[in-house]
Amino acid sequence: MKRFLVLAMAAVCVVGASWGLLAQTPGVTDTTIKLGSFIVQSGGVAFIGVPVMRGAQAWYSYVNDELGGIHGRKIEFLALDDAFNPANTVAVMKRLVEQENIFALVNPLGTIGMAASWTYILEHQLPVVSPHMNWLTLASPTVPHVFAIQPNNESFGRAAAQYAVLELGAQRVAIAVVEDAMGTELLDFALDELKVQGKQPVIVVKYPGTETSFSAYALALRQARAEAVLLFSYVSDAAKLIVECDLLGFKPKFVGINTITLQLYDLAGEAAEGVVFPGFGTDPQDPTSEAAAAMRAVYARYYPGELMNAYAMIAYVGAQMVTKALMDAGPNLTRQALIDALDAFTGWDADGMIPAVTYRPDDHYGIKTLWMNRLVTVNGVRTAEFITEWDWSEHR
Amino acid sequence: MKRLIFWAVVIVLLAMAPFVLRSYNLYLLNLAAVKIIAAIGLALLTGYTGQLSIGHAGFLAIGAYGTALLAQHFGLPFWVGIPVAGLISGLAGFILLIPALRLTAIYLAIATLAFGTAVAEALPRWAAVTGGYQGMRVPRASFFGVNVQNDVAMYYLALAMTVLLLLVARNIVRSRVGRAFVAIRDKSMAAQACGVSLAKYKALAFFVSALYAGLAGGLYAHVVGYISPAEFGLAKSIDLFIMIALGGMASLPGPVLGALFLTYLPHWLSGFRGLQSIIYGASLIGVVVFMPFGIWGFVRKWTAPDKVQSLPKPLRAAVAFVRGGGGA
Repeated sequence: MKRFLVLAMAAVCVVGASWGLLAQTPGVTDTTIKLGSFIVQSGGVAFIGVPVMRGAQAWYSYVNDELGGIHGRKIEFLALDDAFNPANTVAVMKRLVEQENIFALVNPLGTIGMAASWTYILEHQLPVVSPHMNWLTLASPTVPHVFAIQPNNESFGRAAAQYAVLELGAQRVAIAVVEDAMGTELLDFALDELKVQGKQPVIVVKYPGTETSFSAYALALRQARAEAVLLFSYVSDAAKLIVECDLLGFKPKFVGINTITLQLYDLAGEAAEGVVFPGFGTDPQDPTSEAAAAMRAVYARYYPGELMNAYAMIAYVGAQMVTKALMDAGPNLTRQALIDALDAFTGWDADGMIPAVTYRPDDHYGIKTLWMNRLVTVNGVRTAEFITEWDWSEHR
Repeated sequence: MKRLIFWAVVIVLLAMAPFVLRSYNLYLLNLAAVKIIAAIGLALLTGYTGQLSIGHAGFLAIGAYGTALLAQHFGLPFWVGIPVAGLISGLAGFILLIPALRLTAIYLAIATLAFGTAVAEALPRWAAVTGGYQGMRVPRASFFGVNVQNDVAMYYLALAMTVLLLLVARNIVRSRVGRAFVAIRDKSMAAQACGVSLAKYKALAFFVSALYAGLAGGLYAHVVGYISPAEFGLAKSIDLFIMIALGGMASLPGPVLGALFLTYLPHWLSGFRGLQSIIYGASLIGVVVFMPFGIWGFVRKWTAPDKVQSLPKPLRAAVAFVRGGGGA
């Protein structure tokens, strides 16, 4: 009887301790894990935010419906619209942490929103996984609870400059850059990298984000006799500039950034032929990729009739990374367990959809290697041809 | 005396808010205070004086960046930085006086739009000072060495500023100056004939309005803790204009109601994926269609003496207090 009582008390203590542990983990119950996010769904940037939200939501829904959640817990994905306004982002973050009591911030979108809420995130030591932004601060210096996935603007800016000089052999490099947070950061790194490579740009053409006419900029590039033009632009602006250059009979080699996709062909037609751009993911519409086909099938299940684009793809992959980390963290889920699971990531590539991701406690960069592609027409089909892998730190 | 007690109770209740509200709710109230102050300033200029401005985000930006830069480069504490930045913004208001003396209506609106756009464009180009498009983090507010960069402290600051600036605005509109503003709005030539100096009172209106916007900007910088040029574009100016149009232009409760409406509505709708803009737009259209004189105009209409008589006695008393709160 005495032994039974001791055992019973020990069992009560263990259960109590476990319950206490779980109760201390925000956003985690026996049946659910609450994940929060800020993703713009309205206004001028919604064209990015909507597919990002859908890509992430599709995977979380699939995990709940087909895999029964993570260790028996269903995922509650609460993505709030911050309208791409930093003051709103701060409010959204406070709501997610204080009212919704989320476990982690996953798939958030937008650098300025993250910059505005950065201090708050650090103060609350909130885990951040798969942020969709190129902001260097996410990974440098390393923050123990923040895990970047996308390459940052340093990678894109330096890689573009290196590729133009080292691979294309351009002696006269020009830069066309949109005047915004992304463009200025890219420009700074590209200028620095050109300096490292012993070059100066022959011209830097800056244009406002609201620009609609690019003929003057094309003329300036031609007058500078640029051999290669680094395109730090959004795809629609890049298309307009390329078309204007083509109309002038000026055909430099263009090297873009990750904003360039196959869509450039639709917008610029034949003038887009030969444009080089870095990517960090397989085109979700790639007919040769089984992983892309599986992804499209899941996406179509939750968003029938909607075309899965590159924004939805990276959010989907980001969500996959979140669920893998949650799975690796084990049934006794805590924030520290999640961080430990992520720190052990080695060569994870979402079935070949992205370059391999390896995290270590002092390295939370995420994807470092870029896939350099070229727009070409093969047998009458316009496609993005893979050229080579590129890690800027290996070309110094 | 009764009204004094009523408002004292309101102030006490507001002062107790940090004891019951979470940081998130306090932050929203702080954002609302920023918008209320800026909207009151715009109402004094547009609603009372009839000078249309759709470039007020420029003054907001001057106040926000002024406060942040004064703290960063000169180490000025927030309680000095905000008023100084407000004054700088107020002086910048004189820039708009030049076109305002020659232009009216839509032409003045275009001039103010140009001012707002110029400020929004200048900020990122002065990257060495303002941090460019990346924006800048605002130094933490401290009060004699004590860190007050938190939502509770900011709430009391915002509450004090809002109450003080509301009282100042109330006194302005009830004074000779306020009557001159209204006279200029209603018929400037007649006002001149009565001895109202157009130049003097327009200058005063622009100064006060820009001062309010600058103070709001300074408060915003400390409430959010981060500022970037993208926040002070045309959309912000339009937002401010919508606030006073929705609330009721020529009144003081109107901008308050409009600012509260436009602060809380987007946050209530933030969970409606993809529908936020539609519901938001429909709400605005609904208010404009069914409340052509703004929310405050609607309240006043339904609290008119004949309608109030049919209300129960306690409600009648409440309406009497509220109606006495202001209005042109």
